[in-house]
Amino acid sequence: MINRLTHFFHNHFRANEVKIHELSYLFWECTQRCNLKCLHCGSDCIADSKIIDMPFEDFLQAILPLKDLYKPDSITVVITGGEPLLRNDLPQCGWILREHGFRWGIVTNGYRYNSDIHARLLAAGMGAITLSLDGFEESHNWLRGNNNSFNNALQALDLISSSNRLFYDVVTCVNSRNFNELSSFRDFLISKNVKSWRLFTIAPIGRAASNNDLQLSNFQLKQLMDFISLSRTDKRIDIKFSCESYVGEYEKKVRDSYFFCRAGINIASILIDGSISACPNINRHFVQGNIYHDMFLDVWENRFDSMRNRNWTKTGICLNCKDFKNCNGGAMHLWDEKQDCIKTCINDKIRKIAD
Amino acid sequence: MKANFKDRKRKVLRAIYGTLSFSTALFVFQACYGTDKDFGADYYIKGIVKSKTTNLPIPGIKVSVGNQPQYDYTDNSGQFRIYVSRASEHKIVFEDIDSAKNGNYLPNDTIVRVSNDSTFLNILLSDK
Ligand code: SF4
Ligand code: SF4
Repeated sequence: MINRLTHFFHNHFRANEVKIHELSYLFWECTQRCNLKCLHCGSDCIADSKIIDMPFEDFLQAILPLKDLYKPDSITVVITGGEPLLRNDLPQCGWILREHGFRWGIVTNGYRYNSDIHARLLAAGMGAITLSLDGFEESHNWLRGNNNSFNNALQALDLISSSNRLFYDVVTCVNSRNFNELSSFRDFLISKNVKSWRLFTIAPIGRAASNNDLQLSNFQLKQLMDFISLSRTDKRIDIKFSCESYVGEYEKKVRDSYFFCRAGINIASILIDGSISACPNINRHFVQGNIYHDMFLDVWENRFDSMRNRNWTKTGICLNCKDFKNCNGGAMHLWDEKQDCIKTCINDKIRKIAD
Repeated sequence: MKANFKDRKRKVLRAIYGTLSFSTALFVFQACYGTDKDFGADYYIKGIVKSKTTNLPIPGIKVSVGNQPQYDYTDNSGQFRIYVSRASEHKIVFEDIDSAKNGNYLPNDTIVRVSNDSTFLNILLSDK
């Protein structure tokens, strides 16, 4: 009964947030170059991407009008890629963002993160960082396609966790190879003083679509939910499942709040070619405009219909789903241009075990 | 937060629905591949380093922060800037590390007491 009530209020909360659509999280895909060859990469990056990095000035000019409507420090610019540390001007970009009042952080594979770049990014006012670490050495290096990637990421972790300034977390892509080491890996992270750990599964998009090793079985998905909810009770580390899916009976047991895909509601992105979208992993069919011929603020305020009104997602397996009201059609990044069925649903998979 | 928010009612509703759904982290969310939000516990220090003898700016001076990794070098106009974590005070150290390139100066340091806003430092270095 209480659950039904809290869900009810959360659904109203979500509808209200859609109306407000307050931007608080802005991705900048600053490069598509990458120094690793991750098996699961959602952005299909390549080491020597022919697409040139976006000049920072272009990004800046697109977002400056936001200051007319928002307090800039309420917006965190998340610099992502590719691998953002392949850009040499990152501290300079960060300085200018802070001069204009925006907060900023980066998402990195840690391969290039050393004490020098750590010091320069901190000095330039970086406030948040997410580091990918996909299990112990063998599992991590397999997924990242590089034998040194674990050691380098670990060096990055030591630097990051030593800072009392940074809001940071470690993210792990859970897959069939690292699945059995999750519990010892959790203890390892705790021993490394990591305070916050986010786990996600690998969506069947990008390179991951054709690799079965990357996907978990339905039973493993349920075990993963059990592992997260149990680990959350001992409070040694703030462990949570990512925002990627509604998880039915595990809602609120694996994260602090109910599932809410905020793409286009609180989250926007400016992609490498100037496209305006929400999370960078969303199918490019849903692009809403382009900074080279549209005003970003105008697009944010007046477009994004397909993300703010998700009624169209009531199709495919979502059509008769009894959880639709609470889930609202799942994660935006799991829909493609056909818009006929979500690509995968963890709730559906867990339900199948129970049946 | 929208500065001129048109509909105050919606904000009130946000607080009400948020509370009633018992979600502790409604405003603290992350996209799968994103970072935490930055809630900004840092402090901005900027300033200029000059020669005590000539009163001219000195480029290339390393400016570092006591027990933190951040550092900067003064530019051609002797200016530096640095974000540090928010603590009650910081020891800022100035060192001439480029040997005789821009003159030879003795190191100096100063204590910055963190206030509400930011700090501007005027630093003079003595000749070696
Ligand atoms: S699109 Fe995906 S990554 Fe973005 S908020 Fe929705 S669920 Fe999270
Ligand atoms: S089937 Fe669709 S509506 Fe139902 S839980 Fe899955 S994604 Fe959500």
